[in-house]
Amino acid sequence: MTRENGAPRIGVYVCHCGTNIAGVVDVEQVADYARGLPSVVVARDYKYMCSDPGQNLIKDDIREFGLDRVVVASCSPRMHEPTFRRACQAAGLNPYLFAMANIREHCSWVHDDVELATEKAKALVRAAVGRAYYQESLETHGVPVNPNVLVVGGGIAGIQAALEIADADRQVYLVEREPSIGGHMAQFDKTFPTLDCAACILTPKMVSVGQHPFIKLMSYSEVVEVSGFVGNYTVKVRRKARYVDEEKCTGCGLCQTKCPWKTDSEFDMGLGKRKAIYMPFPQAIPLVPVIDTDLCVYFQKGKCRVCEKFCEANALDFEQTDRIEEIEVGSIIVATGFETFDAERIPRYSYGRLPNVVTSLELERMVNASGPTGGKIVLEDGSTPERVGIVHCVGSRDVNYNVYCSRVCCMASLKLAHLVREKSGADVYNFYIDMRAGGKGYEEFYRRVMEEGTHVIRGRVAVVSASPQVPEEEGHLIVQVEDTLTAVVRRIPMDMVILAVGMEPREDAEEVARLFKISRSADGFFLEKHPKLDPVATTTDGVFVVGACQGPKDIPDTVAQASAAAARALAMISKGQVVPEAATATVDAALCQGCGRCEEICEFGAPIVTLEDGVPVSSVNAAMCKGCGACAVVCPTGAISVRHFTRDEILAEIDALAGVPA
Amino acid sequence: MTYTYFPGCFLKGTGEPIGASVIAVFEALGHGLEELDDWNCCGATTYSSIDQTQALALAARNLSLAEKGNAGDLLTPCSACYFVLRRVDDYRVRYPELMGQVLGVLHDMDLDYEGNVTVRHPLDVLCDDIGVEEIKKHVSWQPNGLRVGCYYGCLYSRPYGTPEEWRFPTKMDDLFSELGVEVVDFPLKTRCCGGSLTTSVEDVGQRLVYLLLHEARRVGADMLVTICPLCQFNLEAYQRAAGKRFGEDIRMPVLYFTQLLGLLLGIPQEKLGMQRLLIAPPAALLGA
Repeated sequence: MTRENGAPRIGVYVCHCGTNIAGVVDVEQVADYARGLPSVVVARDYKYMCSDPGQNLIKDDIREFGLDRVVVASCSPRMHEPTFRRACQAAGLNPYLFAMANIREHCSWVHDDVELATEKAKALVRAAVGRAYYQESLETHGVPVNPNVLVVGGGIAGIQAALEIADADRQVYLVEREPSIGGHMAQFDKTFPTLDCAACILTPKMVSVGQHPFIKLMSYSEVVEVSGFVGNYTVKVRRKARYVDEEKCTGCGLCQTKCPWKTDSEFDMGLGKRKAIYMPFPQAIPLVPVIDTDLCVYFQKGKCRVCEKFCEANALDFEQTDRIEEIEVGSIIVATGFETFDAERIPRYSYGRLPNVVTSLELERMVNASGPTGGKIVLEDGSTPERVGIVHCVGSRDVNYNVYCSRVCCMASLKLAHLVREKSGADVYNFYIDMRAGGKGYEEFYRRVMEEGTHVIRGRVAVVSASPQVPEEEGHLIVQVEDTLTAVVRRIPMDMVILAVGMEPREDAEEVARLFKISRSADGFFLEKHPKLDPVATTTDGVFVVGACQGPKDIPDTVAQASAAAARALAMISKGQVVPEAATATVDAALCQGCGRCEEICEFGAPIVTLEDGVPVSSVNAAMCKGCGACAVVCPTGAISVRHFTRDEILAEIDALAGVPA
Repeated sequence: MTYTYFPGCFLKGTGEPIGASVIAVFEALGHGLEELDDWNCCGATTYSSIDQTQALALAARNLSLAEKGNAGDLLTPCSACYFVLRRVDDYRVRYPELMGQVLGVLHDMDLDYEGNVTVRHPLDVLCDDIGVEEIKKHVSWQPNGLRVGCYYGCLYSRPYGTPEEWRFPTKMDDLFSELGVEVVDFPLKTRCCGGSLTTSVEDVGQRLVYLLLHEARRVGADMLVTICPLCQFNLEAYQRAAGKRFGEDIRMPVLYFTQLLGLLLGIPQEKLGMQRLLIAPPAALLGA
């Protein structure tokens, strides 16, 4: 093997990681072994390489021995690669001349035989040294960041993120699919555990969004196309025709009062009615109605336009059409929220089949003072229930439906128990599997609700039926459950049963994920970059996920995430530029035949084939490239290689690992 | 077409009229049932709790024979056989080690099983393959003023390879409604009939029988139809004892679903084994 610029001088550092590595791997032996490898000038072992003294070892050696390659054998590069790259850089070594051997996750943590584990660690070090031999210096270049931010979804997550950014005097585009922002939170009555009214804390924020000079609210709109890369996204938004001029409309609501055509209100979960021209709820932002063209008789049969006759502002515009608006942003915050589990999927619970079996979201509307029943808890025959059962975990923690815990239902159910008792005087039974009250003030609230006299029975409800077995059950819903604390099967007659439906990814989550080039976890929610240490970023730089679209969460957690993502977006803006990864694909134009396979395979749209002097040639936009290597693999002529993962580097690594003599 | 048919032990003994009705109905619709040659016990009953490998091997042998004969579908009217045979396919995927042992047993008999057989219930074949529209063409009689409750039993809706909606099945309800029979809403569609508890733990078994029959009366059914021969047997044979125990005079005829279907198709009563019912069928059926 030959190298162009002479034999390198490599330093190898073997980390003990306390006993994490040294407990299984004989680190001294590994360091000894490394000393005998070709081009290795110095090899040491140290307790914690990532500590300051550990890093100083490297820096001092670089200077003293004139090292031009550094190999650290320690943990996963996902953990400390940036740390050691910085250490190299501080000592004047290009960070891309650093290589890492993972002898913790890939070795000591998964083995217990000291001898074999030590041999494996040696092999991994040998491979890293072999690879380092061929590594090359790479330069990174900053790309300017567009300071505008797109927020997708106008629930509490999107509202919070938008306000945080706009309050820093940065332009926000807030795109909401529905006619009004507010999301699920706008439908709730009270919020746990403080019982403050959802509208009281949400509507001021909604109003701020509507009036904010730095927020452009695009309601009744959907993102249809996203192109570009971190710092420089171009986004197409479809502004759906509402048939009402937002500029002229005063929000007086006369049109919806006069409209003669009614249907079930989506906002009221079908418990109330809305008109064909409607604002979903009185506090809607923007306070501008839309026309439901499926219901509107003018759109269906060509006659009516009663709304137009009564509109003093002359705001009706039946000629409106959908239009596409294009915006330029530097980062995107995805806050598209969740859907509730469809309770009809569990036939045992009789939702949709028996009267007075309702979902928790329906009950939220019912207990709401501005809801369809004016806050009264009523049965379908109009009477007040005397006994109400609340079934937890409907669709959650169940291998047949969703395995995960929806996290909010326990607390929401306790809140509903409190509200139902307060508003109807009914006896309330909560049926739970485990009471999950982990949050500030949550356990205290649980205790309070129990002390009020709410019954809590531990057991997953088997059946909700209307088939009585004893006279007392006649005319009632019957909840059958094993009370697992007493090991007794109980049948308890109820007048109303509330199903605490879990949270699910939205039906179009797959489509949305593709649109923003983000991934989904096994449960279908959007995938964060790191579950603990990078919870709002995604693998697509400049795209963040917040709130329940990333996983079930309650309002406090959602708001915290939204603020976190806003801070990340603002940090990008404040820095003014992003430094993309230098390990990207590069095309040797002389070898490229312009076949375009790279273009087809790339998920990120980085390679583009263009005509150069009439000849098709591919080139890779480094800012969009993730360095995944897919294009290099499909390239039939070998024209594409990935920097920092060149053929020489990878083959040397494999040869060394396999023990092929250099 | 001709389906490979697995009657199971019950249909060769006490449940013989049920088997006869299934064959008669398929014949009337122009389809043949060919009994699987050299079949053996499906492996239900106590086998499953005593020696799992043996129980599965018994079931797998039947599937292996069917596969050897290129059966594709193996049709069984017994819900217990249906459940036990289907379990083999589920375990093949989930417990490869256990299935390795089962295959070892088959190999000793020069048999093998690659999973190419689908075990099917006649209700599914009638509704999904032949189709209600086709069956309608053959209907020649409709009962007058008869209210029927449809009862499926637990084994048909168990987890092995069954889709979610089967946990509250309505297929039989829909079939008979479509054919002009008045079907009442019988909500305890998949509740336990008592199974073998009717003989081993009488008070529990009879209580379960009673609850079903009581509910059938409560919702105004004149009779029940079921797709499980064991349910049919339990609800009929222990009806008087259960009624006595709970102080209710119950006379609820219980038919296997192909018996009622056969009557609609104009098949003679005797061919459907109606004369062997323990509880006399309702008067509305006598005119058939």
